[in-house]
Amino acid sequence: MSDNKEQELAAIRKKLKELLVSHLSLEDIKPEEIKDDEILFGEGLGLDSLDAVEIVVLLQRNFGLEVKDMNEGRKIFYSVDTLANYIFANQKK
Amino acid sequence: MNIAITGLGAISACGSNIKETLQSFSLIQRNAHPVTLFKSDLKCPVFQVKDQKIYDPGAMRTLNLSLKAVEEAVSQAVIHDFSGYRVGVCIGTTVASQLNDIDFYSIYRKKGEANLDSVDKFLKGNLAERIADNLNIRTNLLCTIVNACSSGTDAIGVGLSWLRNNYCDIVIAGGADELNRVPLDGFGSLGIVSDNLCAPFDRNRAGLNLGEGAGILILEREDFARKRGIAPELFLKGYGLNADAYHLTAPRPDGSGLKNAIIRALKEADIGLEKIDFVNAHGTATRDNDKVEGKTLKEVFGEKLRFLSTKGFTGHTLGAAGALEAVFTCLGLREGWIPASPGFENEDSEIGISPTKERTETKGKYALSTSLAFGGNNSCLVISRN
Amino acid sequence: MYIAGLGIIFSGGRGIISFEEALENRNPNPSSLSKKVSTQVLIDKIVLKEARRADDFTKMAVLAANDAFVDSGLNQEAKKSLGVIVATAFGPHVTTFRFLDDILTYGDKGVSPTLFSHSVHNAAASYIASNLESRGPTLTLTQFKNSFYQAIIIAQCWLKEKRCENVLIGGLDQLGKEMEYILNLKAKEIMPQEGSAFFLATENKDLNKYCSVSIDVAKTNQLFDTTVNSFDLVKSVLLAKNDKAKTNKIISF
Repeated sequence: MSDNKEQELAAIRKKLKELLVSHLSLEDIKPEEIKDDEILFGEGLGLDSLDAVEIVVLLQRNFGLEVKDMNEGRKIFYSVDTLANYIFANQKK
Repeated sequence: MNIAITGLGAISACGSNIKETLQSFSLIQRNAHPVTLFKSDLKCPVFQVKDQKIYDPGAMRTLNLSLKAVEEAVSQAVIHDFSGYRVGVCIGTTVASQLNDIDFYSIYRKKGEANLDSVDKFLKGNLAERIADNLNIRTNLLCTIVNACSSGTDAIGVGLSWLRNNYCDIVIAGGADELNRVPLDGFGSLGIVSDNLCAPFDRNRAGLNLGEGAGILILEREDFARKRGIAPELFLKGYGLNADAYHLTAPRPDGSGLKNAIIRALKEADIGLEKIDFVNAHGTATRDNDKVEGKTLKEVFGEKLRFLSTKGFTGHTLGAAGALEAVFTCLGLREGWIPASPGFENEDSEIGISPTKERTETKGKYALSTSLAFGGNNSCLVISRN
Repeated sequence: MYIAGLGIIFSGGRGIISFEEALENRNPNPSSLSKKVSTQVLIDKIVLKEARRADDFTKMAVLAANDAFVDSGLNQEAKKSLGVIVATAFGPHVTTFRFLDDILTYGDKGVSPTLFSHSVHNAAASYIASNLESRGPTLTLTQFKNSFYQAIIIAQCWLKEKRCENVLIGGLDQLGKEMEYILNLKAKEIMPQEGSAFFLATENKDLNKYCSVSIDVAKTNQLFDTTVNSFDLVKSVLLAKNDKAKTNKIISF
């Protein structure tokens, strides 16, 4: 993986973690404490269905991305990594 | 003590009264299109009321819808004058309870001040108060129920409690809501609104359509009605209300809240499950609601259950839903038939039962109407006929 | 019905003891009193553990209801048949206006579903039920100044009909800046405050900790001033409890 790409992904992950904490009102966890491969739903961060649709809004507002199909969403939202990769691959420059 | 239902009133996209509603049911008319009442970027179909009669030009649309249904119900109950009667008014709603006028707020947001006309409209527009005023009813028994999607059912349940505990002789109970930008945008953001006509209980269902309207029942003790010269045909036999205590927007997957509400309502009605001829389900056409509700109804009543969702005709009318559906349940018993559930085509194997696909005769004496609300409320009513 | 527990959140803090102290130190200049509940009061890592997304409206309700339940000494088993009735004049209007902000800023398709779900009047009751794991009947009502009065009537009915064995009845309202603006123009004479007060009511005489409360059926037909709000009732209940005459005091209206 090129340095540039890794740098960008790292920046996205960092921003994502900050947004998750602030936008979803996550308590007792700081952005830097969230692991890159942290699973978002169920175990890991323990997010729920309301958080899922809130993340859709978060993606729209901060990265200009639309997630139309929540079934597709399930795969994208699996972990911080999968979400960051999706953003990197699709975000409007 | 028997509680009689002596008057019914209904207005929705199906029609502005019961006769028009029954016609729509027969012809399976689905009057939906993108909203025209207000500007919106959302083009999903909604069930908007046509040709709304304006009783009060200064009032919120919800109040005008309510007054239409009240007028029909009161007329059917043959009440010309409420003086001398102890009366209660209990109405369920969601939108009409909220101070959410976006024009007022957008000006206030910009300038730090704004004209308060719309606020006045809101403060003077409490449905129960205005309905009582309109009929010259003087009473302290005025209540507005805001239990989200089960408000209409719960308002009727409160009316039942008032009568059983002898707080009054007659209750005007029901629910009303108008199409509004806040719930349209809100439900849209939750990802549960369909871009097409809704398909309750169908395996390919993709969400709800919003609607608007009002449903009203006149409730009174049977002996009181008879003294007035009315021979009641319909009765409110039982009511159940139970909380999921699970999640703000998702229903409890095991359906235990709904089950308990049904058990309570049947116990009050003093009948066994087998006596229920049909169920008017909540059936919003969201993946979650229909799965939980459908599975629970199958578990409780068995595979042969006859049930329907009328939301394919009216859309999800929020605060009005439970009340409109109580009216439709009454009609199903009184008229001897229930309509097809529009939008439904193929059974969902995860649910395992199908709603009516065509006009179906009803022969039994008892029926159930169920409502499941945001916030985890599960309510139902048992209605019977002579 | 008997009052077995009390819980209160108000501008002076949380809890009956704080409220009694505030009543004793009656401020001669009421307009100088704070009208808002401080955010510090709404922090409770245990009770509000599952309420990270909840707005202040809901948090006030959950804390006051929880305190009333704890005050009653009822056990876990009692939660299965615990009813909840929330009475509010204006509901979570602060969140409603934040949702309108979203519509104006981001458009119809860009709004927050979390804000929307918390802008519905019955969100607080839903959180109370989840927090206490209470599966009984749960209702929210709004009737401007008569909300709480209607709630007591319904609670009385529910207990008589055995819809639940015990019921939490609460009054709850917020004072957001938009509401302050409106009240300043429309009702200068009232001194609005935000807060929440909950009562655990029961038919079980053995649980009576404070006094009994009842509504006179006949009076519901005459129009009279029914501005009994939940804070007034707390004051009456505390007075009844502290009455040295020690007979079972009945508050009736």
